[in-house]
Amino acid sequence: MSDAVRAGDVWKRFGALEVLRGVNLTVPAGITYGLLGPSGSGKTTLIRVLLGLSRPDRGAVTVLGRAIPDRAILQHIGYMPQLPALYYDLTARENIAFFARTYGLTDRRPVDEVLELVQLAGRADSPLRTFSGGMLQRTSLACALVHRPRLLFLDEPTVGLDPLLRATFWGHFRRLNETGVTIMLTSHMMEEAEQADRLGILRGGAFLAEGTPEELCRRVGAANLKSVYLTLAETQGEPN
Amino acid sequence: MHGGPRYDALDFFAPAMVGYFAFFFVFLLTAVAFLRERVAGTLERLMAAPLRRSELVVGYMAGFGLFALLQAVAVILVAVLGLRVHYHGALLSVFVLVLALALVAVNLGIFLSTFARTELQAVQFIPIVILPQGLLCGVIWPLSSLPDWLRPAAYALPLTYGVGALRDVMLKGQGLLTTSVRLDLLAVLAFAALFAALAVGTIRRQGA
Repeated sequence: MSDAVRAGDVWKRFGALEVLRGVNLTVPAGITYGLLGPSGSGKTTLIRVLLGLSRPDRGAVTVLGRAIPDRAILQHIGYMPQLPALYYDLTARENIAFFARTYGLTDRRPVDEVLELVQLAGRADSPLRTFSGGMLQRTSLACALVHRPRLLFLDEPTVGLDPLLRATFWGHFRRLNETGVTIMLTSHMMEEAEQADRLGILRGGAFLAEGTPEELCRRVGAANLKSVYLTLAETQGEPN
Repeated sequence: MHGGPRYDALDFFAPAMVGYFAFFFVFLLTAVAFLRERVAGTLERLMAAPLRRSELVVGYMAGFGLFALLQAVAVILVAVLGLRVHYHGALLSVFVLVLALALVAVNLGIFLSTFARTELQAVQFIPIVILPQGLLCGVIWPLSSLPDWLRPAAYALPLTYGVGALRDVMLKGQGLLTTSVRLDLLAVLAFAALFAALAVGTIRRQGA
């Protein structure tokens, strides 16, 4: 299978701030790819560039074989923004059904299925303002999944979740991978990123390192990813 | 004023209020609602779906246009049944004019929501957008009582045309096809089209 995401020499500047500095990225189809890095390292900007929501100053992006921006390819992409980004006066079901409709889905069934998947069927008809943080995250994930995308961009999908729910989310990711869905997620937690198939460690808008978690540990000679990150950050510092 | 001696100030006010309330509330609701879409990130989510920006704007126009019509019914009922103002116009003509004003208000609201970061800032558009139109557009006193130097400002504002047409329809019983009403309606629709273009321009998929 071909690559789900390809980015070549992507640069992006906001005012005087260089947010992305020549990012090169290849994500093979069917894996979970983790973008790891501290806040402000450019993770969200990179995701937005890959979606076509933000235009890079330089560089080219190809997603699912199409040059970005491409409105039609968005039909096959799911996006979970960092904020829950939901309508709090509507119920979970109404939120999911609304976003389903923006992908042309008017059928009830995919909405019910995805509610079942994130275990919200019991609270489907409660307004979101009565929801806990974890329930909002699950609703947000459901909204990104309802149209059965082939590629998922998840921006900090598990931030603020308890360990049990986080494990459940990773269970979902793995099952989606098995059906051929590619997942690209961001995280600032090393322990969590270890579960990804491939990792890109982003800092100051450029990759410090990129590869499978094992490769990264071997290359730096560290026992775990946390030491990989600390070693890399110390030896390379802020890239200039 | 327009009619005979039986007409009083309320008769002069009522048609203007139908248009003014429609404009005021639709503008404010759209500006706040769209600001929320921007701040909460739901706009970002919508932009990540294969929607056209114009589809989004048309959706807003349909939703708030319907709301404006319901509100117009309420204002007319209060004016006619409660305040017993004189009323001659065909309801359909009034609806067309209210809808046209609502389209102006929706698009202006979406456009201006770009320049606010909080709902309080959106509310501060009232003195900039709503108040001058209330004072200059013939809502409270007729255009003819404005000093000469202010009159061009009145003709640069959409509500002037909407209120003029509503008054012609509701007070004088003129139809939409009467020359003056038709020209006023076209002027209002031209404002709606201008602001629609500006609104779509601010919802940039490739922005920021």
